[in-house]
Amino acid sequence: MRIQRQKRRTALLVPIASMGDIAFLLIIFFVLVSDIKEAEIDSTPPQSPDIAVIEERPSLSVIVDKNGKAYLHGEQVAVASLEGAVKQELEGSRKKVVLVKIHHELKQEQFGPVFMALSKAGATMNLVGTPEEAGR
Amino acid sequence: MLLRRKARPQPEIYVASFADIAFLLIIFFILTTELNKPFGKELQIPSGVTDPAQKAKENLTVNLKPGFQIRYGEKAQEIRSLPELQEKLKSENLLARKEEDRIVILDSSPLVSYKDYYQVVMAITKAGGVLALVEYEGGDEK
Repeated sequence: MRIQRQKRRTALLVPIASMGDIAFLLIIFFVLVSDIKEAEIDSTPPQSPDIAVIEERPSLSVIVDKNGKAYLHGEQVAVASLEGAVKQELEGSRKKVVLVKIHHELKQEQFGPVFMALSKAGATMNLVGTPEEAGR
Repeated sequence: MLLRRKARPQPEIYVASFADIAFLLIIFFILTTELNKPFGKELQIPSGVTDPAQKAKENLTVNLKPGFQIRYGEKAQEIRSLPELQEKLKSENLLARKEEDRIVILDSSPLVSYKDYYQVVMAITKAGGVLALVEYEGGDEK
């Protein structure tokens, strides 16, 4: 007598419906954490012993790279139009604070107009630097 | 005779809670990760023009030239190092003065590097000085 085995193997299913949610959350995480635009700009800040950690990072940033090019929020902007652009960005904001990062090798004739523009736009500047031990 | 085997229970891996676990882990990492905090100092540079009719007030002037050469105050005392400048500014006791008397005019030459400029600016603000920039009529700040 031949006994026929019933072959009713079913495929093992791994529910992957939630994988999308996980991936989406990871993407949000990395988007929030990354600072891609600023990393592309070559701007090494100077050192000073008289600085401390900036606790509240301002939402608006002005970066001047080693070639003297100014960037507002990561987008290149002409220094001549910086005052108007910053004024517009700060309109309506309670704290008019701007994070200012300037390359340490720039000369005053290059960064001076940036300071002047921000001053005229009524911005309070958070000048970025790297901490240094006291003494020069 | 047909023998029927007893149906085996289907093996199952429960993954429904994976998303919740991942979400909790992400929240944990967001809360505990310390991102690169920027170092620096807040600085308010008041903008304005000088009224020629107004009697010139005796504000402290710091004249900065390339190579960290500083001419300090009315007598243009020569300063060549940052600790010396910090000491001078400390002796002014700016923090005890009214805000309008704490103005320090920073007059910098066009070839001064931002590295030197930054150290002087930070020293002035740490000592309690309110920084004022000089803009010459041609538009060039020197």
